[in-house]
Amino acid sequence: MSAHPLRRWLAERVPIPMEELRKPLREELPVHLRGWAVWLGGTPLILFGIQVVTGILLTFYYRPDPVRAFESVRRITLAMRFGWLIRSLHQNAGQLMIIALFLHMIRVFVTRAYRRPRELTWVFGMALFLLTLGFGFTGYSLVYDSLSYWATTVGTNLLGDVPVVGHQLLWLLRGGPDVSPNTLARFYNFHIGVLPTLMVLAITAHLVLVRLHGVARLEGDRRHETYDFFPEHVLREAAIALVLLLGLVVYASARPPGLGVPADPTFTPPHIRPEWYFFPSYRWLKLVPMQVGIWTSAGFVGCMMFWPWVDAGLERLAPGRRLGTWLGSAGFAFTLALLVWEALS
Amino acid sequence: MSVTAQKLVVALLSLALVAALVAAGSVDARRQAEARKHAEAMLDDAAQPQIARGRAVYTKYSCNACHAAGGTGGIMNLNAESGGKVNGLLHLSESYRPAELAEKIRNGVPTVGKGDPTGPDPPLHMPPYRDLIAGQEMRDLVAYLMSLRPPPGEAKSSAW
Amino acid sequence: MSDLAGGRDPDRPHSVGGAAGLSRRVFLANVFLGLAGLLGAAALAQRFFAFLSPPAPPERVVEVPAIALESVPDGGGTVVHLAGGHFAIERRGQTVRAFSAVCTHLGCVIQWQPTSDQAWYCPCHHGRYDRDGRVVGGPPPRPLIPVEASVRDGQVIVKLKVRPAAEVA
Repeated sequence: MSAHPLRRWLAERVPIPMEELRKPLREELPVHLRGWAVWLGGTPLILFGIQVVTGILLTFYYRPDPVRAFESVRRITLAMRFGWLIRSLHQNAGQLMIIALFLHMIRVFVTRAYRRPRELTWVFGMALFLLTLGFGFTGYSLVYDSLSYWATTVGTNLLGDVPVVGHQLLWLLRGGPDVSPNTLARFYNFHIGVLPTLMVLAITAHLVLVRLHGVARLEGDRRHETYDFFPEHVLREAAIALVLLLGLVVYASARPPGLGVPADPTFTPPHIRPEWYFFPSYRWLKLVPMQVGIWTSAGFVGCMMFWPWVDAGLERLAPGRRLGTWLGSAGFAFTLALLVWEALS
Repeated sequence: MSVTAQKLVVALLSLALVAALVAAGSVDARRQAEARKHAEAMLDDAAQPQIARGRAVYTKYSCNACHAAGGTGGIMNLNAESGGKVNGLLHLSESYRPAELAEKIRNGVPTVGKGDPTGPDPPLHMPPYRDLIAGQEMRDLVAYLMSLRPPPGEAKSSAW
Repeated sequence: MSDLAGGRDPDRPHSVGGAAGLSRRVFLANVFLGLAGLLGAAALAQRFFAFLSPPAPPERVVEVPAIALESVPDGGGTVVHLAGGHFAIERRGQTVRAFSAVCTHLGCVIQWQPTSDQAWYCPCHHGRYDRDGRVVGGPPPRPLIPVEASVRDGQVIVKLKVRPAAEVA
């Protein structure tokens, strides 16, 4: 270590074991990560960072109160300098985050990187995906225009049909029997307090596990070369972050966000739909009887959550047949089909 | 790609971001000018005595009971053509001249158009105000109604 | 991406090219990256901070009736609170004078002190002003800010600034 006086002074007062801390930066990554799939894991994290910064900025003007919520969104969008930019960044980075997470899941699924001993990494990853959907649902409600108000009403009503705990869940989520001022305050709290806390914990767990295990090598990849996390991998992530920001800023400038019609609890507009990432479950619940839909949805999510063990079980059942891959692909395809169906109808 | 080349790529992307943010600055300047104009117009309207008087006429005859305060649109009117509720008044200046509007207020709207032609008749209709509002009060009310504008940026409701 | 197999990275010392020229190139690349990155971060930060300072709303100066003349004791004063601010109004017979009732020291609202010869008093740090708004005691650095006022139809009329209602909320 160089013995610059200032550095020595600081090292004595703040004895951080710098060498220890540098170790994760010197991680060597398998070369397949240089390929296209590399950005899928880091991208949601970058987008989450954008969400944190723009989200904090939005809280300066947003008012979680039914009477003033829509007006405050209008002020952000029309009156504040660059409010349109920040709102657009927040809105669209959120959408991209869901897409990026979905693609990352597909990548990990296809390469079967979730297998022993990395099952828990997958479980935390699934938790992150569900939390992100929670962000989407609560965030969409906060806009409090006509469409988002009714999507919230319908979405929370659905939970009421969950067997046994549905009623309590509904009450907890809405803060009362109906969508009320409590509901908006609650959704705001979930969106900026509860969910971010859980998110940071889950991200930490996910990343620590990734680091402890090391990035899984591809099946059948015989290359043993590695490359450095720093600076090469960090540079790649920086490039991705800049491309994303650039795209988001250009999109915001070309199509600044608009405003809907203020929410009116006495009038349900035609064509209310959730955001696109809820299309699969929305379409599914329209297709089958309510109880069937809820049970199958819960089964589907549970199956995904514990997929590493489900896959291992299928492997034991029929070794070498890759039943899991087939089954999972069918599930993905089915979900995608429901999404497209709902989008086109 | 070598690490040096990657550094150059990142640096150039960063400069591109700066350029995009500069462009966003001109978008923002335009939007700010619009917002400013709207705020100035609202301020001028609020300062005009005739419009202030017209606003008082609007509440004196309980127009707000159906059309809501500020004419933002109204209470439920089942199967009315204006989206199942009493229409808002924010677009009047686009489709009426003052004399026409005064005439409409005098006559009222005895039958409200149906949204669904096979559905029931909307329960609410607008009574004639011929015997109630006239002269200076009518002129003030019309001036007030013609001054109403939708807030900028909001999606258009049914024009009326 | 072509050198996946590794080994031919020009930045590594074992590759071809003089070590001096190489390190200069690396140094220049680092400087360029640092400057460009700084510029990008600064541009983004500037936009974000601009968002945090709301644009000043437009204003109009209007005359409003503040208080009935008879409600202000002759030879005395009173403070009126209007939507456009606090006003210190002082009366002598049929003439009135008005000031902004905000103390020039640290912004507390001043009061009329009927018993003392020093007309206006600030309770926060014992600032004192006379009838003309001049500082006669305590810490205030400047005299009170005068406001145009007149009497019409028995009402004290003051000129004040109004802003659009939406901006006040």
